[in-house]
Amino acid sequence: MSAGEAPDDLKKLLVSRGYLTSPVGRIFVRRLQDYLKSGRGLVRLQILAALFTGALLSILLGAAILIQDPRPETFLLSIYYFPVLSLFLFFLYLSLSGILWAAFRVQPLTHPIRLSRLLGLAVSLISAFMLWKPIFMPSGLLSIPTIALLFFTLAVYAILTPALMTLTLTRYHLPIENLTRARPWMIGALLTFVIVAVIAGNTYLSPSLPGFKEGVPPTLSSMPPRTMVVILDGVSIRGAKFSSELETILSRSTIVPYTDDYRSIPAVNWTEVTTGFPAAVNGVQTLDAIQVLGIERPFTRLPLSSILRTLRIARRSISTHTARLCPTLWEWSASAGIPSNVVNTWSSWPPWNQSPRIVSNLELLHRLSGEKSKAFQPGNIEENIPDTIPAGAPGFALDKIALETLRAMRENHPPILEVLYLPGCDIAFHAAVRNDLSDLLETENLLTDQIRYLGVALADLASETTRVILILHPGRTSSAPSYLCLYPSESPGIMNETVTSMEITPAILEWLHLPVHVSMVRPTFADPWNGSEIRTVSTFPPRDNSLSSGVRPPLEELRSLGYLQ
Amino acid sequence: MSFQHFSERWLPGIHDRLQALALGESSVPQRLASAAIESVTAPGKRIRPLLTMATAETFGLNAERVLDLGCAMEFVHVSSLILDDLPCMDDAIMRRGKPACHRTHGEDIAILAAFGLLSRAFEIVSSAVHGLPVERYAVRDYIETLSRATGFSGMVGGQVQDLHPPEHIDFHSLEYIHSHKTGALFVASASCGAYAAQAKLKHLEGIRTFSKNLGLAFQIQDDLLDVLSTPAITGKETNTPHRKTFVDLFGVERCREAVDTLFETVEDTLRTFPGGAPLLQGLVEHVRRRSS
Repeated sequence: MSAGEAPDDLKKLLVSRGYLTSPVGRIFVRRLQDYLKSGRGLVRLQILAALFTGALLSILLGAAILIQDPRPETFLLSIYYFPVLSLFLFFLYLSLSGILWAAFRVQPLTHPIRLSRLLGLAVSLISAFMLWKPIFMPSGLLSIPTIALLFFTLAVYAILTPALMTLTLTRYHLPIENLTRARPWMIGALLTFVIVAVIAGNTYLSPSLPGFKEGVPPTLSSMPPRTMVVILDGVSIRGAKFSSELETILSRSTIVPYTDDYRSIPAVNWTEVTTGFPAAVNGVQTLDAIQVLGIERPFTRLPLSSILRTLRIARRSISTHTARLCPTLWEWSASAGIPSNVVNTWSSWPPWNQSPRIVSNLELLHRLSGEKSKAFQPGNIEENIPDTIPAGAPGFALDKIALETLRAMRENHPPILEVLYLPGCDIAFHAAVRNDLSDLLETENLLTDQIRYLGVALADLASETTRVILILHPGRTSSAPSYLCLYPSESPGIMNETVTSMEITPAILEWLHLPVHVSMVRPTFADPWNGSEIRTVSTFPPRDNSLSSGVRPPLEELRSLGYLQ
Repeated sequence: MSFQHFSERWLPGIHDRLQALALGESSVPQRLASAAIESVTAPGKRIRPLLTMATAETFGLNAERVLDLGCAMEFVHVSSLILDDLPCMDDAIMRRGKPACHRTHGEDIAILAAFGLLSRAFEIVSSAVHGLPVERYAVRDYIETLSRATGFSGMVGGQVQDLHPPEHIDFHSLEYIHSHKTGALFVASASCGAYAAQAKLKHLEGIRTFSKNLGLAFQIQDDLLDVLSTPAITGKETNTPHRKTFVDLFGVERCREAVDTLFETVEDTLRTFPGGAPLLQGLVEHVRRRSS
């Protein structure tokens, strides 16, 4: 080495020999080293590390679940998680130390300590990934359990890396001073920074819960024009053109593409479309729930539920206690005194008040099966459902009976707002894909016929109404875009901007001259109908709790929330 | 209390105690006794005993209770100087402004005096610890620390490397020499003070870092003084050919930078101690400003 080298070289060399550094990291490693003095010290160390990190994660997960779903008995979950996680971590540490020993025994590595750090980080991330999947939220943003998981990753890294370093030092009989600094603390600080940033970002980006507060019914600025909202599920914009009637409607419509991130989960998708709020806010998440030993009410989502179920601590169950929180667009309208008829829609339970006349899809399915449902609410509107059972595949028959019911309701209860959900094409296509692909061609022909039938029927219905809001949803299994079609429009055509599914309800509320809730995502597209003055409210319409009491079958409520489909 | 006051108060006591403890209670042949007494009472900075005492005081133990412990550290240091000055090693002429021990008393007596002082150091440590608290650290910790600092993994190892350096000496071999020859005893002196005061583990680690950095800073500073000062000032003079130093490898300016950074690290570490360890800060400042 000559005197002509870069000025920083001497400092680097000093650092490499353990000078100019803080002793903090070495304290921890030295303590770990003490465990290795005895024969069984390593196993003791692994057990302690597993217990420590297991306890830490159990508490974090329990606390996270408690925050999301407050109920006092949730602490039991931490107790259940503790042995499961500790055991998992113990085997993880055990196998890792074996790998490390074997690797160093065969061929000494140039930078064994660096490798230890890398391995520590890799294992932490892998274990985080293993736990990630069960608690990933469909909302796409970080859940509180996910944040807890990030902290867990940090804890595993902080424990594991010094342990691996200690093994390395012991293997090579290196003095502890060879660790210029046990960097897990530095990387730990970096991870902490990242986690804090993520939490801050998450807090900023998370869909905020609309502080649920019932207030006075919304008021109308003026009576809106007669409006029909039709959801065509399983029909793409290209498919709609098989019907000349639908093609005509589309050619005179303003067509707004919209994104529906959860189209494969109908309960989530349609709850967001019809309420204007995230499904998570409404309590609509999955198709089943998890009942945990010692905890009365089931969870809709639980980390490591499959392990808990294997251990007989938890079992699958159907939730009977979750209720949709935010009102649907027809509940807003009915609360304001707009006569509203609703047929075959999602999210029709629990009822908000007595004004909307709702024939749910369960009632229609009962009729299709030849039974007479006793689930009608509010009031007896069974008379609107035709007695004749339509022919055809179940999905198509459902569409037909829904259309006929809507017609009957028009005559018996003249509406200003109508909402109709027609899922026949989606049901038929989905069944064909799942059952026998050889029937696909035949299904396509049937679908074409069905679309033509729907086109004629909708054109007929549209002729008696002022505005038609047609939601073209290509179905659960399609990747084609979804569209919101506003008919008739003075400026027809497809808009360039894409909106989200949660902008549909607030837009419709504005066209119905209703105020929108302040927490709703305001529509961003140009309004072809020049809606009335935009008003906001900070409360929801009052709910008629008497209608939620036990006279209604729980199945109705479950179906409304996306179960039992 | 400032370090200035601390050292003014304790230096005379250290000097007296060194003299009193050097020979112990046994009767020692006059020539050997003279060699030992002259060596330990020769004027010196007494950095090591002061380090032990200031460390103990920093962690709440009265410095007086580790006076003997500090003297033991100085005995180890003096014995290493006597051996280091021998013709078979550095062949030094002067030490601490006086003729080297072997020049006055002969090589045989010098060697025996060195070994006598070294053994005496361990004897003092083992007896001094009996009067100290032992909740966290026991006699074994003192003996182990001091043995490592003096033996193959300490001063002896460093001296061998110093006498027989590799053909191409570089930073690592120099650091090895100095961390073993000088640094190890600095670390041991401070550690024993911390043991005596039953310092917490985190503080003990801090003390080790502090003394390790201080030891090297002290050594590089020595190398700088060798270049920038004269034997009249440093009190050292040898017949051996010039050995490579940090200054030869990195030049004066970089060494000054390194010394400054080492001292800054030392001071940063001290700030993590209770009350910021003003006494040790003072000691560091004292070492930093030394001219010999």
